[in-house]
Amino acid sequence: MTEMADLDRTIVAWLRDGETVAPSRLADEIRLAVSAAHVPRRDLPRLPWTASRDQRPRALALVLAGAAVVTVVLGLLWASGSVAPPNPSPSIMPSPSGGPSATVRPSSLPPTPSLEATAGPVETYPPAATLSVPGVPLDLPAGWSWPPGGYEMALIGALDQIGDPYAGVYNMLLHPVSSARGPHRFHVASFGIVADAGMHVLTSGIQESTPQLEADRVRATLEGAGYVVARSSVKLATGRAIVLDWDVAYNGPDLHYRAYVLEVGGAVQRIDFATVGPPSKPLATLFLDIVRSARSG
Amino acid sequence: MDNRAVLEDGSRIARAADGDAAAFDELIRPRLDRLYMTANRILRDGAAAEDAVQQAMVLAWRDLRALRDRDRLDAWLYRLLVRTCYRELRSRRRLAANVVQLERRDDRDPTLAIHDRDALERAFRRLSADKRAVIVLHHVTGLSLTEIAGVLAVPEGTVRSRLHYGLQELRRVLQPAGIIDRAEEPA
Repeated sequence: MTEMADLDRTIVAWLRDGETVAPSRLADEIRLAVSAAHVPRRDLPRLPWTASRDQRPRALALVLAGAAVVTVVLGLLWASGSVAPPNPSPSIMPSPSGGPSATVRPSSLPPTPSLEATAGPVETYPPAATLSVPGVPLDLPAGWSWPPGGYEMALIGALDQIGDPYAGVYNMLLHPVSSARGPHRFHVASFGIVADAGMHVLTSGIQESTPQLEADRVRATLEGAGYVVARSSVKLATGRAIVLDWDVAYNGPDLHYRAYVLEVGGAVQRIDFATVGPPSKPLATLFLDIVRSARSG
Repeated sequence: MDNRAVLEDGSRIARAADGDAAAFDELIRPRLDRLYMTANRILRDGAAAEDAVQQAMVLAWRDLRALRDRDRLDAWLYRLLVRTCYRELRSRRRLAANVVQLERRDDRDPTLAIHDRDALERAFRRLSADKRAVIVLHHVTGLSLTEIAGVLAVPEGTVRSRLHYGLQELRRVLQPAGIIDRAEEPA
């Protein structure tokens, strides 16, 4: 035991041995880099509902989170037959902030169902569907639904406020690197409340003629904003898709973005996915399956 | 850190989050030495450590508004730094320049023999980035296992395990002909 302690002391002494002061130029270099990477603060990805969160009482967040738990419990009881079913028809709740959905949700999307419909019993779990992006149908397995409405956004805002990192997935709605609009979908795991993955299909705003060039352009934009981007590629039946991965710091684990840039039907398309931290293997497989399903139509 | 310093930091964070670069500079300047020391020990390369700290600070500047719990600024900065170090280590492995650069300085601990330093250096470079980070954050930066778990966003048991196995690998290179045993050998 003594010998092990001696070895550890030797190792720690070796580890601590060396420079303990940063070179004096480092602070200046960081100041220059920071000024070069200036980010307009208003463009940072935040949920609009939580923009003025500092003025909101924390109790409200806890009450809303509690309401979410009650909703899930009631949903489970309903599924087991213990409670009379609530109104099964989807409803649209007004936004508490007066309208994040107006700026967030593409107007062409169908009405948003209530929380009971998106996150409740298995019977209402979003079924498999085909996402009809103009010219590029995509097969979505079960679990993908459209963006949340006002009530859900309030719930997500509450989770966001109490530090639940999963609420951050919805921040991709406002992410500044995706200035071009396109449909969003969010994936909710079975019995989940908030999304564990988001998807954003870009059908406009593509500026380059090949996936390689478009991926280079996107990567340059991201790196110009200070993100560290990893590039790889994956073989598809229609050709090779370029894959870009980057992280966005968030409360708790980072949000991880994965963009596939591919050519479908003679046009370049981009499909972004967002997860809390790097995607799990099942989610990564799910993403790839969706990308592989892209076809001209 | 006393209450006054915490309050001052809170004010600087708020101003930096609103785009005040001078406030950001005031915020990170007192932390640079420890951040640099941490990166330097993880990467075992001064120039790479400078790059890593710089990249991490640019990320911190850009994403400062995402920091909700301002009391956890240091943990957040270490998280960004460690992730930048991971990326640096990954990119180095891709380059596969398998050259071990040993610093030759006169102010090093004289009780460590050159071959023990070399053996430790080689063993440390063979460690995974995860183990390197945990060992350095605990034994050099001085964070507790709980704090490291928060920084790395992994369970405390995982931190404990990485520390245990990382140190075990380092001990192994000292044991066969290590300085402790040799010192006890008869002349």
